[in-house]
Amino acid sequence: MSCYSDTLATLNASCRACVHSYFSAPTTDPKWAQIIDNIKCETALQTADFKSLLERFVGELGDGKAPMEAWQQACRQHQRKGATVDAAVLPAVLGRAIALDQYAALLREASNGAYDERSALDLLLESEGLQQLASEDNAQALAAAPLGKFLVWATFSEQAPSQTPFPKTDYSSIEILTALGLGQFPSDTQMILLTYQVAKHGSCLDLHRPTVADADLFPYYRPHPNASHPWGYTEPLPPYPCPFPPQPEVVHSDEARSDRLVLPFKITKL
Amino acid sequence: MTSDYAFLNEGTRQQLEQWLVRALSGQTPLPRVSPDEFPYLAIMRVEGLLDKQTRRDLYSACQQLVSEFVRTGKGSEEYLHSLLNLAVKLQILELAPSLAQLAQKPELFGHLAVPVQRLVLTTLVEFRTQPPAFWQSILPLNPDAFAGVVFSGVFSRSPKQAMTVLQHLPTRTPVVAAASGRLRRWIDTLEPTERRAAEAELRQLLPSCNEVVREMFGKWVPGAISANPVPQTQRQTKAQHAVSLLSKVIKQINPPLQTSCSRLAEAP
Repeated sequence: MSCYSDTLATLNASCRACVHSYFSAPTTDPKWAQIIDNIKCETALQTADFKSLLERFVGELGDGKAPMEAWQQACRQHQRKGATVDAAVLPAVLGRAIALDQYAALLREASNGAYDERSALDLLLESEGLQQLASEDNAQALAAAPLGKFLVWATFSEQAPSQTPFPKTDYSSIEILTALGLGQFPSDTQMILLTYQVAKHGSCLDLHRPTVADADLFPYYRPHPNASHPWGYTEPLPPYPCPFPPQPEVVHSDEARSDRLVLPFKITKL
Repeated sequence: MTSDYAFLNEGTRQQLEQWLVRALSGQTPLPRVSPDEFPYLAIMRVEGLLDKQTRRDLYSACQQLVSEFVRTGKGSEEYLHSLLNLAVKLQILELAPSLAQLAQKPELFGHLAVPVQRLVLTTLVEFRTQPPAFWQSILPLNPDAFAGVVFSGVFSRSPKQAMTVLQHLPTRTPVVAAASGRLRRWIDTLEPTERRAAEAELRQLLPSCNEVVREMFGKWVPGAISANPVPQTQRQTKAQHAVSLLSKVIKQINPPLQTSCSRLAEAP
């Protein structure tokens, strides 16, 4: 593992100067400033991957892209490069919170459009809290929905890694958004809380510690300072009313489908 | 968060459009709940923070970008996914005629990738502007890829007519399961007489459907033929054969009566 300054030293002079000038220039955009801060604090990338990421960024800039677009393109070529979570400490189940609209859209797409947005949402709202879906067609349609798109971010319970990280009966949107450090959005963003199996039908998800490349342009990611820790941690945001400990976080590919779900799923209250 | 996007209220219409293009491609930080969230959902969060004039500009910028796509057919799948879904969220119904024309223009529509074609059709489903006849004209273009979305399009205007799409559904379970779930829930809302009629119609249609459809619907349609039909008893077969013969004879002398007899012969 290597920190930013070590990696910078391995770049050739022109590349180093370019990276340095872009990441040292003052910016008025607080989100871009936070992303740069995260890059400088990253510890989870191998030197070769970090170097390749920065070189790609410079290459994209050379192709005429704006800095944020160049960074995004570079990131997308370097995702899931954080260390793989070792089998000995692999949690049995993961949890993730995504916007209800997003999951409904994934369900609609998995049905090739046989659901429209409203009917996909209705299915989710009617199925909340059920240990078993009301009918087999509902269950089979839901099973095909991806758990995320491109790259999936997930959390788990460190104390009870075989149990859902969302054990309470009710959660509010603001509680989840701030506890998982997902952003400070209007509290009318309804979230769905999914719990799913890491291993299913002999296929085990490859979990990785997240890095700045996985975070892409998402400014709420925070690099964990311990380079050898097997996973990352969220940074809870204000205004959560009582202190909430950082939650573990990992990433995996979007091949996982909802046939891994452990029911019931929950929908946050507004 | 409001102040993060105040620059959009202060900038020009052209700057807003440039921002929108970047945002739709995910090339600028957006208020996403999770990093993999579709950009259009985050853009709708931003929309709620804008002043009235900027919202109008956002609406017209989205409309213009969709019109550009309709004219040129250009754009990455990721960008078009967000653009067309944003048009749905903003309810830009003025776009429906041009999107419908695009879908019926083989020289342009045929050159689009299938997922993009389906995006265009999904947008029209969400607009709920197209009559069942439009969807019936779309189906032959690519029944395997479009049957799900065509089902949805017809269902949004006439659930009863949507049953006729079942025989074109592919064998992909998620598509069939979604269609089954939607029809089942619709039938559950009907009065008993209407319900029995709808179930009878399904029973009549299912034999012409593929085995995945027959199996899925066979689980809830009373008396439906399952994927592996149970052999009829010799007595049933003989009775139906007799009715069929009778039907042929009656056809010669009384056609209306013959129709009733044919239905009797087809009954399970």
